[in-house]
Amino acid sequence: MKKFMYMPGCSLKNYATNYEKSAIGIAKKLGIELVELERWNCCGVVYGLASDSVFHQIAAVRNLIRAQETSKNLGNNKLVTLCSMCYQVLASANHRIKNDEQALEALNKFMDEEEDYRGEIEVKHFLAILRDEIGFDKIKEKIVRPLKNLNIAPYYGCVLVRPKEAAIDDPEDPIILETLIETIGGNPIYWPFRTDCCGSYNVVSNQDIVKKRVWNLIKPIRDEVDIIITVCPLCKFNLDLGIDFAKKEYYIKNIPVLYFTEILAYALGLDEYLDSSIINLLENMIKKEEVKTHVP
Amino acid sequence: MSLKTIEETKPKLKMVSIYIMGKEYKVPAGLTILKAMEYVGYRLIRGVGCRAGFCGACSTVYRLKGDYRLYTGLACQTTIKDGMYLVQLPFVPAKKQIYNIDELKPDFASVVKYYPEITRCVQCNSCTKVCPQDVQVMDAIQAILRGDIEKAAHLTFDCIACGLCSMRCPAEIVHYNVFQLVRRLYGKYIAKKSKHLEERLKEIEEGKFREELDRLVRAGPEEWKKLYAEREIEP
Repeated sequence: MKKFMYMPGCSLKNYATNYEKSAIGIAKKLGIELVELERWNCCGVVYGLASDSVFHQIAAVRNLIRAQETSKNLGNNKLVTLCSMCYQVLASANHRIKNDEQALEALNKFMDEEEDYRGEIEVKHFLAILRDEIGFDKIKEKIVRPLKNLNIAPYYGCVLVRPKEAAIDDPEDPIILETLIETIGGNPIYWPFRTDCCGSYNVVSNQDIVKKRVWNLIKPIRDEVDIIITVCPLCKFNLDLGIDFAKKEYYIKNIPVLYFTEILAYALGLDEYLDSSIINLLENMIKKEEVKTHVP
Repeated sequence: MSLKTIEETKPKLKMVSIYIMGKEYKVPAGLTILKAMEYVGYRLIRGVGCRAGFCGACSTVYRLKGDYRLYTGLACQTTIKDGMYLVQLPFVPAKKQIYNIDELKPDFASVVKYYPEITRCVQCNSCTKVCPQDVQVMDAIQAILRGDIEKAAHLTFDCIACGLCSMRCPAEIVHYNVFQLVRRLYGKYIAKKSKHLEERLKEIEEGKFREELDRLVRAGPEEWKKLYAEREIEP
């Protein structure tokens, strides 16, 4: 079993536990192991992305040092994340620090209680691991419960594919989630706003911004979509909030928002890694589609 | 055989220079900071406690000649070095919240409600660097941020609330008060209950030891002295 270092991030240990559970199940099924770093900190979140100050890279680089320590025993320098914010923050910091000798030196001198960061770690999102290390063809062979005829909308959000230095796919026209949906037998629907921002941290101070934002995002797909899939705990939170609002305000139907790992785990038949509510939801949706297509 | 004077028979002390509030004093090498201060005539009222490295009252900040670092330690545990510049911190004016532990849950939300500044942590690790108890202070704050109250409680078990971390923190976190809340949450909601303790508490409430205590209270000073002198001491 090939081992990869894994940095969960704070959200996955709080309200996105389903995301982590299903991903660990998938990894096991596909023959890789996600080894959680023994020590890790908050990735640093938007501070590192929004500020030029080297000081705000400390959080991310400290995690990269933890990974560097772990990689010695593991023999693999790839650090995997699930949360797309963690991914972006770590990958961006890594890119910046590798290309800025002065900043790296200042940080290494400041963190004199740690070993120096040498820029050897590669930050990878779990989706990229599925594509590059395992391959969607291999995954297809293991699908036991295809999500036949379900219209699934992929939501990338803003930080998984932008900026291009840390993007896991084409920033303008990504296809990795669409490919995943096809792999598990679903029907990916074209969604022009799939890489637009969900409103992000505005949800803390002004929920109205987020509600209206999400309503605008889902407007063009609200009738044909069955499920929206996401890669980010914050996107899921905001999408749920906005859909709830649109249901009351504009009488749209309910649109469940799931993590991509949840539908993949379902398709792979990994019931023990899924909440029973998710299993029931997907089972009923698939049955409904079967009935529809069998009407004479 | 020539006779020695009393002065000559005294053991020779190696003297070193320390600076307190900028004034130089010569003191015998090998003393702790606390004893050195008393040696030069300071009478310590605040900023001193158990003298055994447990109470956290005697936090000290110092510099060494020719060294850019700001060092910290407990005055009762740190031995003086030649050329030490000393400052005592008698008191840390830290924010301390009032809460009802029965109304809280052992999660991130409960802690952040009373100490929202913990979310300002930029992971500079200054707190860990100054800790005289070698507590992984920053890791504990980070554990709280991801809701791992149990881990935070275990990491901070050795905290003696000296307050040095809080004095250094650029995010103005009051670590030791946060950690006390965390350990209280852990003790009340997460830690396994010890059955024998509950049984003993029940016995006390039922008055099993009341008679013995009453007899002791009635006995009077003479009897107490006798009992104290004859008490059993563990080997």
